[in-house]
Amino acid sequence: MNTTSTYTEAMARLESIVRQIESGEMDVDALTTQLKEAKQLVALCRQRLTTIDNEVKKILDDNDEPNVKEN
Amino acid sequence: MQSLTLYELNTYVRRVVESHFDDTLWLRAELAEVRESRGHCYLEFIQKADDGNNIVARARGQVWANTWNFLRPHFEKTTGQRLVAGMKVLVEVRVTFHEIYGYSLTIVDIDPTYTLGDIAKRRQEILNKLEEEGVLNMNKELPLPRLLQHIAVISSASAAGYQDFCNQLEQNAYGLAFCTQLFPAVMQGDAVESSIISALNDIADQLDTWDCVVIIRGGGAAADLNGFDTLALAENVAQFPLPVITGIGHERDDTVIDLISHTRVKTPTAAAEFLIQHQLEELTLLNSLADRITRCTSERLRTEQLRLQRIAQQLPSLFTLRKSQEEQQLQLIWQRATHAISTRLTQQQHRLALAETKLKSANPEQILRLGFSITRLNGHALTASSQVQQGDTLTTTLAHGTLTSTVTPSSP
Repeated sequence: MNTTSTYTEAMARLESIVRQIESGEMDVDALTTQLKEAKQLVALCRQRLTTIDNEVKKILDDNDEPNVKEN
Repeated sequence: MQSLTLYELNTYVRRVVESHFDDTLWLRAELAEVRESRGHCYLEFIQKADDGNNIVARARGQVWANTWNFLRPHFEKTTGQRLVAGMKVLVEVRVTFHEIYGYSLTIVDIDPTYTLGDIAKRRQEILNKLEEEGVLNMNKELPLPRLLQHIAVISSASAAGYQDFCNQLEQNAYGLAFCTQLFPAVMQGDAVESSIISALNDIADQLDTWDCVVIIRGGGAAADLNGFDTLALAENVAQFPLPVITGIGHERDDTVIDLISHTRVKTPTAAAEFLIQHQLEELTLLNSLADRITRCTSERLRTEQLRLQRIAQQLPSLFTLRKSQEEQQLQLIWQRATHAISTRLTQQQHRLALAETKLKSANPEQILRLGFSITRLNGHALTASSQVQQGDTLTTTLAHGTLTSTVTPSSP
C-alpha cells in the first residue's frame, strides 16, 4: 500500500526527532520547530491508523463490490 | 402384482446382510465426519478416487458407548490425536442393516497405527515439493507492512466466521480503522482449490490497494479441510506477493496452507485480533513517541532553566572572586615594577661612580703630577718631533710651573 510508505517515513522521522531530543543533541532554539513538526507527524500517523483514506474508499467504490466494509 | 411393504423389504435386506456378514471384518476408509453424542461416537466413512478428490464410496458408522469408552483412550494414547475427520482409519466393523436407520457399520476395534502419519504424510509430500521448488518459506519471509489496514478477505460470504471477523474488526476498542473487502470463495468441497486461486488472482490485480490477505473459514466438517491440502493452492499461497494470514484449520490440525502462510491463527476472530493487535502496537508506539517528545522537551527546557538559574546565582560571587584576583595581580605587578625601578637606579649609580673614577684618572693635572709634561708650540700640544723646526720656541707645562725652551739642532 503506497500510503504505508508515507506512514513509515513519518514514523521514522518521529523516531529520529525523539532520539535527537533524548540525546540532548538538539539545540534549544531548534526545539520549538522540532516539537511543532513532531506534533504534526503524530497527528498524521494517528489519522492514518484511525481513518481510511478517501482515495482508497474511491478505489473500492470503483470496484463496485457490494461487500466493501468500512468502519 | 405381488408387492412388499417397506418394512418387509427392509427386513429382507437386513436378513440378507446378516447372513452374508455374520462375522466382523477389517475396513480401510477415510473419516469424513466424527461426532459424539450421549457417549456414542457417530462416524462417516468415505473413499476417494485415486486422484484424491472425488468421493467414490460413503457409509455411516457408529461406535457404541461401551466400546468407545476404551477405544477412544487407546486411539488417543497411540496417535496423540483425537479421532477427527480427514483421518484414514483401519477399523474392525460389523456390517448392519436396520429397518429404520438403514445401512451402517458398527465399529468394534480400531488399529491406530494405520492412521498414524497418513494425513501428515500427504501434507509432508506437498511441503517437500514446495521446498524443492524453493518456495516453501516465501510468504513467511515477506515483511509485514507497518500498516495492516486494507484487508482482502477470502471467505464464503455466508460463513459465520466471516461475519465474526468483520464484527471483531469493526468493534475494536481502540478506534482503529480497517477496510475490508470480501473476495468470495468456496470454502468446502472440491472447488476450494480453484475458487481460492481465482480469488487470489483477483487480489493480485489490485496489489497496491491491499496490505494483506486473510483466508478464513468458519464451521463445516473438518473432512472438508482436504480441499486446502493441494499442491496448486499451496504454491499459489506460498508465492503470493502479500502476506497471507490464515484461519482455516482447527485446534489440532493445520492444513498445508496454514503451514506455509505468513501467519496462522486458529479462528476468524483470532485473525481479526491479530490485525487489531498489529495496529494497536503501532498506535502504542506512536503514543509512546509522542509522550517521549513531550517529556523530553519539557525536561530539556527545565534543565536549561536550572542551568540559567545556577549561572545567575553564581555571577555575583564569580565577579567578586575575579575582582580580588585582578587586585592581587595588580599588586604583584606594582611590586615587580617598584623592585625593577630601584634595581635599575642602583645599577645606574654604580655605573656613574665607575665613570667618575675613570674620569678622575684621565685628568691631565693628575697625569702631570705623575711626572708627565705637555709641550706646546704656539699653544698647540706637540705629539711628534717632526712638528717643530729649529729655532721654534716651545712652552712646557709641568705639574708645578712652566718651562720655555728653544729648539736646537739635535746631535746625531
